[in-house]
Amino acid sequence: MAVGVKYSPLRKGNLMELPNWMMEEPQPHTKIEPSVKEKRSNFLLKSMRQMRAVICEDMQTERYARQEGLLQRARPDIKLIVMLALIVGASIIRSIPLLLALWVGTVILMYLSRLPVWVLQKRIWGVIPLITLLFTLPVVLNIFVDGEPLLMIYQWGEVQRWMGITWPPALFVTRQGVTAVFLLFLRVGISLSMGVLLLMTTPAADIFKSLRVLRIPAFFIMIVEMTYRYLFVLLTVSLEMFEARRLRTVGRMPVSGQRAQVGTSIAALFARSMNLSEEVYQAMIARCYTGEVPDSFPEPGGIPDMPAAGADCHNRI
Amino acid sequence: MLTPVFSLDRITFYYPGGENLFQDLSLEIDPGDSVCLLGANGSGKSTLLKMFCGLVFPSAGCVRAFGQEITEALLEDSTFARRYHQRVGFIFQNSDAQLFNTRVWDEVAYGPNQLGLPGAEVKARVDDILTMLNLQSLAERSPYRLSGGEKKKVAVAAALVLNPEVLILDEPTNGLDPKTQRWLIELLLQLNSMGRTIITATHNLDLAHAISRRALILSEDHRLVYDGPSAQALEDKSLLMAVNLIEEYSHRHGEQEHKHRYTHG
Repeated sequence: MAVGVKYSPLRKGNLMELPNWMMEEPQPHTKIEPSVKEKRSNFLLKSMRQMRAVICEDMQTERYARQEGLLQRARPDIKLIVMLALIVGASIIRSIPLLLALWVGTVILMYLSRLPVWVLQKRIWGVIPLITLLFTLPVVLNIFVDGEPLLMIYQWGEVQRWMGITWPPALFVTRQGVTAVFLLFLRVGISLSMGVLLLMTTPAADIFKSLRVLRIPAFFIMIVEMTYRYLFVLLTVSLEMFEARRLRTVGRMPVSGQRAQVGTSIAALFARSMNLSEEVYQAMIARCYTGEVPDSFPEPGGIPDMPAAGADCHNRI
Repeated sequence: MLTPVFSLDRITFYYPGGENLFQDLSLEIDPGDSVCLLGANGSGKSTLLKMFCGLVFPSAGCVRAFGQEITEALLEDSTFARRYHQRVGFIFQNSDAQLFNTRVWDEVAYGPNQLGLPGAEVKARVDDILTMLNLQSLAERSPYRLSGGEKKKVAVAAALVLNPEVLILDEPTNGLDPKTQRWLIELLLQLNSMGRTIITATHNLDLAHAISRRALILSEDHRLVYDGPSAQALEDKSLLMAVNLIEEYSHRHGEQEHKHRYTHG
């Protein structure tokens, strides 16, 4: 056995004097009655669930990035440049068929990289592009973009002046307006798809290293990298704090008490993050950090194994 | 027949996107038991403890506590959750996470205040527990400025002040000096002798031997491979080696080769 503390059984001389309220007998057979009326949403529980989801999602993304797949085999710096070029390309292209072809390309790449295509498509197209679509929807009307009528909504017959604005004789949806909105919708979705492809097929550390090819200063990359890393440390600590707090939340506090608690939690977390940052800095100094970041080029992730990637594509198709 | 404090019936658990952590795991813990949950790092000890505390829930199977099924929906009922958490005290491995107030006194008073006890009673309870654990001198200090051992004592005080029937501890002696370890063990033994159920997760075999009558051993692939008297388990070197709780290594003194056993501590 290794060196350890050897313990002896309980001795009377070591007994602590317990207060009277601790001498009550436990009642393990008493069931806890749930309340019949109280069903309120719980802020603490929801926050904990979301924090766990973020942590799990990060772990899952890292798992996808490290699995075998077409894009996972490519060099991260090349992938970064190509994805950025494609994003710029998608924002310049004015041809809808070409943009659709680009989208189909991203779907195929997701499939060949063994990513959950359907889940990602729902996430990509279901939020940001949809919101963009809703915000830009008025552009389809001829009062914003004049053009060829596609769908007549209302006809006045002559030019109207209302609320200080001159209105055209008819209100209709224009072909040019619909095209503009659809183009924007596609561009947003395709740019997001490219970003997702890059993030889900490249470990976070490799993406940060690859930023060097864009001539971003090493010091800036180091700060971003550490922020990302400690964001998750802070998230984990916050989750544990919330869990600890939930375990001791055994009564209902007045709103003022809850506010005070939130205040103390923020203060405690702040103090802890200050301590942590100080320790991290000391650890950096202990490993020869002098305020300068070495200008080393990122480790290559390996020259893309194109024959193997090709064979994999063939098998998948 | 005694109603178990906790019973797990064929539970399966996995984190979203991950592989199964537990598969068809069943066990029971009786009132007044002193149980040690042993296993190497990553064997699932902390997750199992959190399941007892109602912080995580199985993906399949049933967890019962005090004779009733514990579900996520039930613990969303705040009346039930309060009573449940009052009866089940949890001491985190990381005391820093557990201590979220800016003064030790407020930290210990948090639970009694939540119970809605009158101010005088809260003060009496907090003072009682601080005296009992010899922490009076720390009352006005900030928890995050304390030493590791002091933090652990404050975390214990914060849990004990609610007078829980079950006390669950996750790696309680990690990073503690021998004197504080000794103090904690004496306290746990005393609480157990008063009928409190003590569940401790650790990979410190000396601690397991000192505080528990029963051992539950989890393998590195998250299976329950032993459930029985702790003394017997701690004698079974091949079992302990199989679950990575002890390791054997050899070295030479001149011509002679020695073999040593190494345990986590």
